Amino acid sequence: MAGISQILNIAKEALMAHQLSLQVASHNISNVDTPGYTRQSLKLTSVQGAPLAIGTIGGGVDATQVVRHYDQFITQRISSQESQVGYLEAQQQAFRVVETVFNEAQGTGLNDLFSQFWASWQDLAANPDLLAARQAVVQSGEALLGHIQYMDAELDRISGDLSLTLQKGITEVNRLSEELARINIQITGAETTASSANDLRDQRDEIVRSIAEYLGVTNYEGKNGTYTLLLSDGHALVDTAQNWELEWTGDTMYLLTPKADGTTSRQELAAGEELGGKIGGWVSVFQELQNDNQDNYQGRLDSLAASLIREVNSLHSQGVGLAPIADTLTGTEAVPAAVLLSSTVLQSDALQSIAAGMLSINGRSLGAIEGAVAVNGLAMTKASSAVDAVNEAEAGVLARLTTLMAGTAGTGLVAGESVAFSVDGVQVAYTAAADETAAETAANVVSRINTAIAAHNGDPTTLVPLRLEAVVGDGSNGGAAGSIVLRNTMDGDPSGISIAGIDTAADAKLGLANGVQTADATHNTGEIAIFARQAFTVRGGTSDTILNQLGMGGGLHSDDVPGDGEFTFGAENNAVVNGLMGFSYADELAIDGGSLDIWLYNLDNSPAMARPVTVELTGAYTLQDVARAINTAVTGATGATDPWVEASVVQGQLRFTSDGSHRFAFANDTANILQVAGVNTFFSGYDAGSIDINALLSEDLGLLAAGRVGTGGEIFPGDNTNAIQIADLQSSQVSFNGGSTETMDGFYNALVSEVGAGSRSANRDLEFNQLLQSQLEEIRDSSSGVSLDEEMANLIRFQHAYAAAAKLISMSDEMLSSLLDTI
Amino acid sequence: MRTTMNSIHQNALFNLSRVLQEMQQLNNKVTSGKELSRISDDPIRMASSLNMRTNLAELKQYQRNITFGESMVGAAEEALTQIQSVISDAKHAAVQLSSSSADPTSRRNSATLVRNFLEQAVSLANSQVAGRFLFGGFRTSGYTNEEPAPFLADHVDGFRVNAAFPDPVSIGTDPAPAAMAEGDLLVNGIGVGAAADDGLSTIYADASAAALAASINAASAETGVEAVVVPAFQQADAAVNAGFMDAGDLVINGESIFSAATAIMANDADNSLVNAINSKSALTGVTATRGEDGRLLLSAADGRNLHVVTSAAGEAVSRLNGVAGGMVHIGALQLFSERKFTLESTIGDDLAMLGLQGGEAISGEEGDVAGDDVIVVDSLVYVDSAVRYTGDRENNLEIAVGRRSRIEVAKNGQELFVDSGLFSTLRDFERILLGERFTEITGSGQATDTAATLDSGDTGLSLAGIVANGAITFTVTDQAYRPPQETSFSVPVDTAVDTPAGIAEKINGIPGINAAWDVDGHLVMTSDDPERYSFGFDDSSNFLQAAGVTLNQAQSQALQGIASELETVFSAMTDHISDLAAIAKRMEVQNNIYARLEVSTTETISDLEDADLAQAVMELKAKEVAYEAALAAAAKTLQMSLLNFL
Repeated sequence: MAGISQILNIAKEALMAHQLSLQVASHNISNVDTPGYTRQSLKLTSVQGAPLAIGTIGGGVDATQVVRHYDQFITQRISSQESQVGYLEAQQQAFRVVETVFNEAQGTGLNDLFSQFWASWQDLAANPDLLAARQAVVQSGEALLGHIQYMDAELDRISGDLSLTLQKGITEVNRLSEELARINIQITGAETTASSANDLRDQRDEIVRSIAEYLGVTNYEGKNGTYTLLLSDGHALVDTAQNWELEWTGDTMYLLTPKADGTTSRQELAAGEELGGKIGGWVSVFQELQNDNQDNYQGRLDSLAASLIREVNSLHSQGVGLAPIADTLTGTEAVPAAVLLSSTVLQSDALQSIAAGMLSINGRSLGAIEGAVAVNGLAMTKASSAVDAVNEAEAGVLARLTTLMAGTAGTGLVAGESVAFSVDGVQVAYTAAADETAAETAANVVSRINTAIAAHNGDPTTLVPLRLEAVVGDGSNGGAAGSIVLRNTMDGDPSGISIAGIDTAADAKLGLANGVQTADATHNTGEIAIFARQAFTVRGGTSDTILNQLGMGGGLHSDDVPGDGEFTFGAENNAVVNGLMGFSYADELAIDGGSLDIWLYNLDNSPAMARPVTVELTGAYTLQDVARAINTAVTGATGATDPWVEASVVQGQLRFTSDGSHRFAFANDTANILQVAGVNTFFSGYDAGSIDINALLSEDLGLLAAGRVGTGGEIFPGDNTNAIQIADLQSSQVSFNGGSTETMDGFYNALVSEVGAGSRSANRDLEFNQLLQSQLEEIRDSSSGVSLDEEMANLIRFQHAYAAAAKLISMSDEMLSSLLDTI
Repeated sequence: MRTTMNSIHQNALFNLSRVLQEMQQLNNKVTSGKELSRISDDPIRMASSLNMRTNLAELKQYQRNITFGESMVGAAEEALTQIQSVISDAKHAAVQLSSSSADPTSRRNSATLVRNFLEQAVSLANSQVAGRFLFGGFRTSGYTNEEPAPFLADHVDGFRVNAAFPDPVSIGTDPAPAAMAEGDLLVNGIGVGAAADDGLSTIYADASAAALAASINAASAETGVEAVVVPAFQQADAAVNAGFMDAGDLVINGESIFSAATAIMANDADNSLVNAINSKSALTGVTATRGEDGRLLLSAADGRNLHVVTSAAGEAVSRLNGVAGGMVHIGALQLFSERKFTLESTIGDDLAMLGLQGGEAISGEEGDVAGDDVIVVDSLVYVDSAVRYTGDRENNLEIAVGRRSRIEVAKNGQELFVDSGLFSTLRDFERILLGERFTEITGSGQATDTAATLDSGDTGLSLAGIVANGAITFTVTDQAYRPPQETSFSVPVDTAVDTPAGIAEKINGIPGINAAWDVDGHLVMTSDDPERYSFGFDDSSNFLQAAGVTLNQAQSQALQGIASELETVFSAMTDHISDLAAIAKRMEVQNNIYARLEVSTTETISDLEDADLAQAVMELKAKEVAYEAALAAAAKTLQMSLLNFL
């Protein structure tokens, strides 16, 4: 069709198209401030005209599509930049708060209190007999520990707050991911007619961007226009119409997957800074504040407190105050029970090594455990390697071997031949009644040894009973067939077994040699004993294969799920009542060969004896053993029936009670039992949360040990030996959990500057990334942003086009009129 | 590139907020005056600032320590200087009193003066600073009613116990004395080794006092207890009878005294028995003397056993053993320690091995129960003018003046006063003035022939003529006992029989005194152990006067000795005072160093922490301008829009 009506038609179409353009422009103008809005424009094309003899005459204009000025690449860049900024923002916010805890800038922080604390010991060294100086030490100690406790509590509180914030963030992410799934469906529905759901897509991009603010995610578009959202570790958060929820349980992040049976399975996500976004940022700071990690801020504060307590107490417990102790002295540390897991390393797998990182205890990864040939049926070397690996991991547990000493197969005694030797000082003698085989001799001598030990242990003057037994070797118990095997009966007792007095040919026929053996790679029972203060968790892969090698496989106790590669072992499973290894500072104990001197005084503070009572503690396993050794030694030394000072165990605490007519003081505690049990110590507790001043000191300042007992038992009020040594700790290199060695001031200063540096780098990075983000936004806006000036200009353009089209109609009208008029 | 209004808006806001942040930081600096308000402002600077603060606190503390030390040293110096002036006064007195113009009476009257010196010295040694004793070592306070101060006049220093002489062993009747085995005796709980042969005794050599003392002393480094021997002696029950002594009639420590029959007079009037025994002294280690009453007295020179064997004839004459036969006399022990100590027997003999069995009556220790196998030696022994040190003997008060650097600011009294002999010299001084208890006398008379009888006129003693028959009575005081035990021995003088050398030998035979004529012909009498034994004398024969030993002479000599000893003590004090001065100097230097360090450290901290106000204000000003410009520009740009022109 051609002619005027065609012109009219073209004009009509043009009117419609320009009206549409105006509409699109007004949509743009009205959304000028809508976040995520992408500028749209109407795509106009000319309509192919009808071919005429003179050629083709165009058919006017046609509005074909509303186009989004969208840049996929830059949008994705912005969304990932959003994650980065969110991450840094969250980190910066959290650091701001953490920083205030460590804020030393004003000069009134822990550093200053440390200086005051050491200075007070120096002042005490100058005036050991002044009560005021003693008061000052206790007060500066209280100020110091008060601040440490405050810092600990603050860090706890911040980590609690962060956990709450995390919770909220995750709720938000869950809400957004659900919305994303919904909008995915809407878009698929809206776009079936080949047209693009521009505004829905803008909304969806905005949701992705919001999620990216909280979590580092990547997204890609599916065939039918839906988005799939992946977490940084590759787990899908949203896929088409399905979304997965996240859950935060206070310290772990889980991905919930609904199962067919209506339950949900929870999968643990690696919760660290790799999560990205605000959540990643919060988690990264949150992890610095979590307990039981000696490398984070909280853990290093604990380390500092632990070292302070250990170093001060180890000196303080060796000292003495103004006068001997008059009444009752109770240790600050209680050890109701020591959790003990005893397991036998599987002999059949003795040669197999366990690579580093395969096992973890309380989340601390263990180093490699080397396999080695088993000796007479016991995987001794592997057990020793396992014990070393556990101890080096510093996982809050202590591993110990149990001593075993095996002789060689003897030749047997002939009738009338005698042997005489001593085991740990206990005399054993045996005379063969008839000619014996090696095995008969071994069996007879073993029974003699066990009888002699029983008699020794039954003797009331024995300080610490011998926890030792003899058995005949059979090739599977650590000794060759027919040999004599001696082993400690208490699990994890590495104390030495000594044999002496073997010097005749007959003695030599037993296959025993003189000497002392303590538990080492070739003298142990092939068992691992793991002691802990509280329940601990061991993990070793997804099945029990590795745990089985160490004898820790499924079914260790009724609650242990077999085959899951992990178990938790607590006091309810097995514990040693009042076991020494349950003390927080049990690793300081030097029981084997260790002793403690107790000086006894009359009521006028003159020494009641010219020498101290030396209590040998070798072999002590529980606190009761220690108490018994002390009481036996004291009564043995004084000759009195009742001990002048009695040791007892009350609710897991070591208590010394005088008989009312004597006093006592301590010296030369080479076993470190006082320090460990908190007797005669300055601090109590074991970390930043538990540190406190020994309550007895606040009651009686005279107990503050500025001096040491003199060689003749003298206690001089002017003695400053101990005070000077404690003051010297300020510049001493001491060891910290985790193995570093530094001065306490230095350790703390390093921690402060690290917190500062962490905060500073978050600040810096945030500034940079915000700039980057604003530049990216600018780039995005340069294509997708609405420019009002541009739209205004367009409006005029469209308006004029519209007017021109209208002019066409009026012109056609005139043409028609003039045509009709001629008729 | 398209630029939208939104971009311009965002940009303007972003930049404005950055400038604002910077302004806030600058504002913080200016208002607080601190460069750092948060640790993240500059963590490196913060770390070094923290170290500096620790250093500063240490420096201040060391300066406080030094101030304290200076007060101690100053006080000690003052006290020592005053003690020095007391010593100097005492020395003048000694020189004056030793001159011949003084006589025993005037000297006796001066004894109070010396006593005053002693008391002054004791009171100065008990000097206190702020209620703390300067010279008590670590025992700066905490003294008891019993021991109120570090130095206690009129008490013996240390603790001691004297054992009784063991009962003589009659050979053939009594069982042989058992040697002490290892661990039989515990001293302060430490087992004493087995007693071994003493290398001196001819019988029971491992049960002698010397053997016991040797094993106790071998452990003294550990036990802190030392043993001294009280030599064995034996005084006959009756006077010497007239008779003959032949070879084998008297055997002392394995040596037969006579080789041929020798006549002995009643009471050994011609000294032939005493001389015969003394002539074998070098072999037997035993000297003899006899009293006026004619009784023989044998004494061992050291801790060896005294083994006397008499035949019937020998017994009849010497009367040494009561009945003919062999008798072994064993020496006694004295144990002492600076501290209280405990002795224990592990063999149930109630310490009979030491002669300490029987409880308080023997040991003199209050509350010592007989038969309990234990003695705790803890009582204070009173002795006139002795000075007891009750302070800390081992430690000197130190202060920290730097990391690992200590300075001694007070010495303990042991080293200062006890070891330097201050009190013992003053005590001796007083005793000499009182005319008793000499420990060393050299006669002024000169003998040319000490073997000539006194009435022969050949002795060379110018005053030989005044010697008459009579006796010299020596009073030996053993200060180890409380009260000091005094024993008198008379040495008879018969001018017709006795020679100067013979009398010296008889004096020498008295336990506790050594006497001999020296090569120049002077009679020298000394105490066996000047700390323990001293002697006085009373002479009715004028022999001592003839030998030039008069009270006057003895005092004069002894006082000269005292004067020179006081000189030594004086110079010891000078040493200590100069030590103190050196310490004071060192502290002063150290203090100056610290003061300078404190200034520079404070400066460094200020550099690190304090804001440079001028710079901060300038920067603030610049930011202000920048902010204003940014605002103006933003306002201008945002204002413009095509809208306004439509």
